[in-house]
Amino acid sequence: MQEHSNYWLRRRISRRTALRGSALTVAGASTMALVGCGDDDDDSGGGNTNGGGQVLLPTAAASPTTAKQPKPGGSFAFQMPNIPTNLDPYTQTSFQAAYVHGLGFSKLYRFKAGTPEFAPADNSMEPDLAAAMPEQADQLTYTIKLKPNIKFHNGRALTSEDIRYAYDRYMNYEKSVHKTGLGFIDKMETPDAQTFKFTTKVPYADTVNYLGGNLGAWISPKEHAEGPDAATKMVGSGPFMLTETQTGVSMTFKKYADYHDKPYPYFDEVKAFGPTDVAKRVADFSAKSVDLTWLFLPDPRDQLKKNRADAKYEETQGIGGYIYLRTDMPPFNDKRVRQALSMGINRKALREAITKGEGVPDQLYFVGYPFSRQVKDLPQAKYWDYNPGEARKLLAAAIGEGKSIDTTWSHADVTAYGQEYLDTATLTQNQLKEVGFNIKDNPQPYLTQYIPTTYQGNYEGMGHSPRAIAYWLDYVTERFTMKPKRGRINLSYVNDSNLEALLDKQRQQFKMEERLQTVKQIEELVAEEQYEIYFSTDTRTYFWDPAIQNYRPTAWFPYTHLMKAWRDRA
Amino acid sequence: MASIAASEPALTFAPRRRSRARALVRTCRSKPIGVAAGAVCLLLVLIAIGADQLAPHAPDATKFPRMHAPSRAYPLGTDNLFRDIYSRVLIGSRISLGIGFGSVAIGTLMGTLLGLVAGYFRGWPDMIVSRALDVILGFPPLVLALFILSIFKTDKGFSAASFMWMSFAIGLIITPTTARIVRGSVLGIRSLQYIEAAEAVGSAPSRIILRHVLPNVMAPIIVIASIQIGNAILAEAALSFIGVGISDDSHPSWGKMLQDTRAQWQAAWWLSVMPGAAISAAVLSFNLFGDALRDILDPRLRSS
Repeated sequence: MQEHSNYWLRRRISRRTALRGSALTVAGASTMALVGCGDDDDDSGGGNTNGGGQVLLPTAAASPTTAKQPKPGGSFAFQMPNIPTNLDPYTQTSFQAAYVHGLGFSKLYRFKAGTPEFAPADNSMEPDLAAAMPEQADQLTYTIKLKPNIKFHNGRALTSEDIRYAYDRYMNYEKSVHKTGLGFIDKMETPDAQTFKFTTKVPYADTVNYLGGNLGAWISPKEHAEGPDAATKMVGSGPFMLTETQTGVSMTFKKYADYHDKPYPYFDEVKAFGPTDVAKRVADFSAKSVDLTWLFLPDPRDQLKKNRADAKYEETQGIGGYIYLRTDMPPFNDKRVRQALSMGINRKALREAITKGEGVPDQLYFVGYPFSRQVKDLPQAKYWDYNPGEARKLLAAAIGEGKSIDTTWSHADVTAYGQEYLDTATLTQNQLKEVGFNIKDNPQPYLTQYIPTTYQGNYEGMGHSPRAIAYWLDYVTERFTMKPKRGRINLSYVNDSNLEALLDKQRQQFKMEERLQTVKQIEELVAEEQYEIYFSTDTRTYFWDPAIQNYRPTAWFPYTHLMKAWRDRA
Repeated sequence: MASIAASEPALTFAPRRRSRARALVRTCRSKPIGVAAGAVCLLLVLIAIGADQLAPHAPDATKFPRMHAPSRAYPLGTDNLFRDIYSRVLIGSRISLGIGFGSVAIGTLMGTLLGLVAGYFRGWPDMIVSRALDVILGFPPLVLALFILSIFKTDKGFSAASFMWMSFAIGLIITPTTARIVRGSVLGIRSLQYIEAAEAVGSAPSRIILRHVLPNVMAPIIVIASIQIGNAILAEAALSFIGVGISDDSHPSWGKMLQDTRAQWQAAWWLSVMPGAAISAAVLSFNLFGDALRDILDPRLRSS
């Protein structure tokens, strides 16, 4: 990795520091001293600020407690916005499903982030089903040895053939929504039950990050994937077994005693509740009826800080929404219309209305990385400026003087992402009306309508979705490729040969410095074309009970390492 | 001849008109609350009709200070998305009152028809209608409306279809009350001699119902309809508040205004109070007006 100029990546701490921190805890030293493990000393509550004094990423209160003796047993309850209705990883792209997939399924690799030693946005990988990082005879060939004695929840031993089956299903199953993601794989072999070998079509710099980070890499066995319960149950090899689902209410998981990564998991039972209302989530955590809750914007965050002064909390640079649009058909196939759209949005007013002015003002799709450029540093920064006059001129040049555009804006309803997400859509639509976009709002139920239709690209006009932090560099390919078919989240139907060439180029660049140069070219091309219209990035805060040890949130999958957490009942 | 003919009716009816006018003035004096409520109802209707002209700004204009307390510039304050609440309350009266009147029209029409059929024919038509009304009454009203809207109202924006389905769903839940009241009244009238006389001379049932029964049950129908308008406005606000109403920022409704801002209520009291007051004023005035109408039109109450 490059030098960590990014706040979150700087916050990785060594084990020695962690132990020292624990000792200080015992000695009664202040929390501030414990957390002062990075090279900044701003953890006393003041937060990290930008030049304007805005709080961007405030205090991280995670205490390094790994030196304590874990106490197995007990139960853990957390909240999530929704209880997913389809659990089949092959046909799902929902992050909400992925949150619980991490409890029931495994991948070859997984993020290191999730325990106190690692920063929430650290995207480095560690072996999960794999015994070690892959062996590479050359840039195209990967040999991966599996850990011994891995079993699925149904008791059958997991072999390399299960890995081959899963990847083949992701690539070739008719209903798979991840067909393009593993497109870099050319050939797969299983020399023996413990060895999985594959070659890539071209050198691919993000192979391990894809296999460990992508939604389409969970290993679900054939007998379950092709069975009648694939959508409603989970039979994986993860640390917890799904035992009960109460539709729309909760999911209950029991400890998987034969989990391959000993001595985990510590908890006997994990329960996920799916209240959709932020106020209820605040109330439940305030009443101590759950141990972990998250996704809070500044208003409920401040309320929870008051209600649960004892709780640990941490902010991650969170979710920034973006607008995707049909660039393959009029009127959005004209880049002047897209540029006008971007310049018609008053992002400062949106931040003021939704997040108390907090958040990272303007970014593209790469946020959280050390190299992530602020928009102000781009030559195309003017398209992020609120300039209704210029927007009207661009629109007039594209469609004619005095004309306006009638279009539809599809997005998930309030149950998925909260009222603030809807407010963003409402306020933006009102702003855009003033420059000549007459938008019909089309809120859709998240799981039953938005994910199966709009989020699969079946929409007209425009759509709106939160964008998570891109957790590996080649994430951009899924956003913008049309090769061999539309990328999983190429919701704007981008089909640009110059962009494809740059995407191909960066994928094969193993030297980070060279790759970042290509990435900059991609950023500038996307900024110029405005293939996606980006909102500012907000912050999202996690809160958890102080008795929960060895837990830290991640920017992407908050329960990846829940099996390593335990409750200090002393 | 012509002048004589023209003057005859005036000579005949002038005293009756004067006596009616006197009766009206007397009634108004005896029901000051009802008169005031009626005036408010009339005012609300006029506001709804002329909302576009009365509102100083577009309801979705976002050029104002955020969460500004009520002041001379912004009489009802501004909301969290920079919008003028005064303009939104005025424009919002169209959806709230429009659906209120629309649903009462549908509910009254259906209820009257069912009540007339059940009360006049009795026997198996009465049994079928009464059991059907029992089934409708068996559902909690808002749950029934939710059920209908979630199945049939596919358009969430402002359109004739969504307006119609909202009116129908609310109209359906007020139908049984109207039908039962009409049925009861018809049962009383059915046994009177002038109905027997009409049947004896061979009048068709439809003629008897329309010419002899319906005019005599109009008073309770008018009273129940005026009271139901308040209930319908309240139901529309509740459905909009839980997110199944008309969702279009250029056509706000009072219930939707409450829903949109509920996370900010603690920070800005006017966000809940202003649309809430509009709902309360409308419901209260229609209910009080309905009560006054009942007192006036019911001969027993009038004489007392």
